[in-house]
Amino acid sequence: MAISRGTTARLAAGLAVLALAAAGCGGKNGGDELTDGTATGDPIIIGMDEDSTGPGASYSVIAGKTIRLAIQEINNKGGVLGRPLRLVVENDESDPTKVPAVLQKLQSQGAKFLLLQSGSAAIMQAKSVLSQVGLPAIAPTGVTATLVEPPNNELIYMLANTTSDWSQVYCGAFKAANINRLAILEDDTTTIAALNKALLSGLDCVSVVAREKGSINASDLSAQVARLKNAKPDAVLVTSVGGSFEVLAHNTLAAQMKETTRFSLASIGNQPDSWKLANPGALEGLIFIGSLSTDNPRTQELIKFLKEKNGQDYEVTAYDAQAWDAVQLVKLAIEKAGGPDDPKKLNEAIQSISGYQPHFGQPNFTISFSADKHLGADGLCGLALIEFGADNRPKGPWSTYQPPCEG
Amino acid sequence: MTDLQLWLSAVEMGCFFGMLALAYHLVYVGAGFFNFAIGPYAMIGGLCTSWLVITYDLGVWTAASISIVLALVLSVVTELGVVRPVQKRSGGGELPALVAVAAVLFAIQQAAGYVFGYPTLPGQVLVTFGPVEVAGVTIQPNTILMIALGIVTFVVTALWIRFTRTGRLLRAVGDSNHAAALLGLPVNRVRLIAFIVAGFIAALAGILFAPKAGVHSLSGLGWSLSGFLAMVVGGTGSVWAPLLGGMLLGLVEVFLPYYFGGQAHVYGMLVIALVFFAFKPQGLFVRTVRA
Repeated sequence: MAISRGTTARLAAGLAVLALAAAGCGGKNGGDELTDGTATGDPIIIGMDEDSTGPGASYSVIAGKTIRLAIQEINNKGGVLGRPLRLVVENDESDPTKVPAVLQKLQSQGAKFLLLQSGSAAIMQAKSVLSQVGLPAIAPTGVTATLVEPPNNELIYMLANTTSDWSQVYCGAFKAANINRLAILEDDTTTIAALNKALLSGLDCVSVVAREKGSINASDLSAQVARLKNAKPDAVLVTSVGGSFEVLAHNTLAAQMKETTRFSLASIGNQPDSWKLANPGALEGLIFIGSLSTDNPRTQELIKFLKEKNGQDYEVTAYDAQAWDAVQLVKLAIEKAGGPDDPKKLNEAIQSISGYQPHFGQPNFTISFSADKHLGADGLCGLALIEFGADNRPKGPWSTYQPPCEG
Repeated sequence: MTDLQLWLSAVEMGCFFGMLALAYHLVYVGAGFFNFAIGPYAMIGGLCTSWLVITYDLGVWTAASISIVLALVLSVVTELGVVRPVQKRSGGGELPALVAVAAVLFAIQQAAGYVFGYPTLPGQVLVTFGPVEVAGVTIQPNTILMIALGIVTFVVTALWIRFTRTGRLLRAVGDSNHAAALLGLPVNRVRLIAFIVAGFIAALAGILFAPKAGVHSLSGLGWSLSGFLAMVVGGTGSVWAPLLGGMLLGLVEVFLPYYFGGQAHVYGMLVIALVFFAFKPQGLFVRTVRA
């Protein structure tokens, strides 16, 4: 029996509807199921610009989930000044052009404080918009120094060490491990090109003897690694946005340069799903720059809490910890300001926070703000050098060197 | 060019590109048509296997079998639901069918993203044994399987085409679709078989290659282009031509970056494509027909 043209058209329409339905089923934002817990009174609205889709989704979703857990935990323990926190969420998809509308919308929904969980380009755009909406904001996982530098930085704050601190940490590590000749394997993304420009200009403590680039979608890096090997470096630094490129690089390095010490950026440590891509033992000995130190008792508490909430298999990352601390800082600021309704008081309250002990970094790491200091990290010890074990999972702090707080 | 590790990588890449090109070759011979959905079939093979193992804890062989069946279904749907109706309505025109298959390529990628998710999943190795050290070269199990099963696939396909009735029919239909129809040969059945075998080979290639660098829902486009270029380079004159084309691309992919650094292979691929399209579009192997 032949299928008529009309039947075919109906089938096609039906399939299209099914596809649209499937698409609609996938995008539910779980953010707004928070309860007031034991808190009473008028809710305090917190606005979150969360990339639940788009380039920043890989880290924003992780942080967004922990922000929700932190808010719920605060509400369960009586709220802030007895009032519950409520979350309103919008998504700019890391697109700077959408930022003004997103922030305006959050303000119109009653937000008193903003959490900018988006890409750095979008947050840069947000800096100038914040003065228009007049609300203070924290970028929980931001690591680009310019985000909190003048101009337009009056209302924006960041917690963790920036990439400009990383060069100092690597140099300390290279000196401690007697590494003088460094080879670099990098991906071809613009993010890494910009990052390497800043990072390598600070690495005057070593001689860069080889530098190779591979496509972010590469299927093979054996040629690049063979060229690095020919340069006889003491160590190799892989700089990539993470994902399959990063693991392919380490699979290849483990096979072709197994005796050479390997370093990496933070991405590999914050992307537990990518560890499964590695060949057995391929990540062993890799040292990455992270922000979670299991020596920090507050980190241990947070890991325990998040595993209880998300399951024992959940891999806690720096994104989780920074998201958690961002919410705690919001709570602290509202309490110091005596309420959420005066943005000027709220901003001054943030600037009065000093010596806050966060859930990431080394045990003695602290966060402080002032009118001139919108980057919270006090010293380098918000960073930690972490080593991977034979099971392709981080096994703990690297014993050879850790960044000092006074650096 | 004395580094054995590089040769190993080149041969591994060559086998993968060659298998994709063989899938193109079979559809081209059987249906006179470039099926650009070959890459997505391979992606489905690798991605679905990983997803079933990770999400449902299935055994890798069971997962691989289900994935291959899924790729076969997609291959059949491509022929019966897209190519054949479009060609029928366009009077056998190639361009409308090519456009339709390009749409199939993107549709499969998008559907795979919805179903299996967008992150890169680790490829699953069909056998479990440790890396093998030979003359200072570390050989991963997936590399051994890729090369061994790649060669087996070519041998079996060559024997099938030469010694079985279906294989001979495939060649006859490929020589002249119109003449074969006039002679009463089952042209439509042969076309369908070509799509099915191509789908199988592509899915197998995807499963075997996925452990190398993982697989994600958008892997299919790049794989489609690599396989097509390997087929163009090798030509359609022999069942072994795709392997030759694949090996040449594998050598370019590995040795150009080694000698010229960075992403020289990208420019190398571009030059090869331009040279072959301009000066030798029939590829290296040309089929000769005795008068």
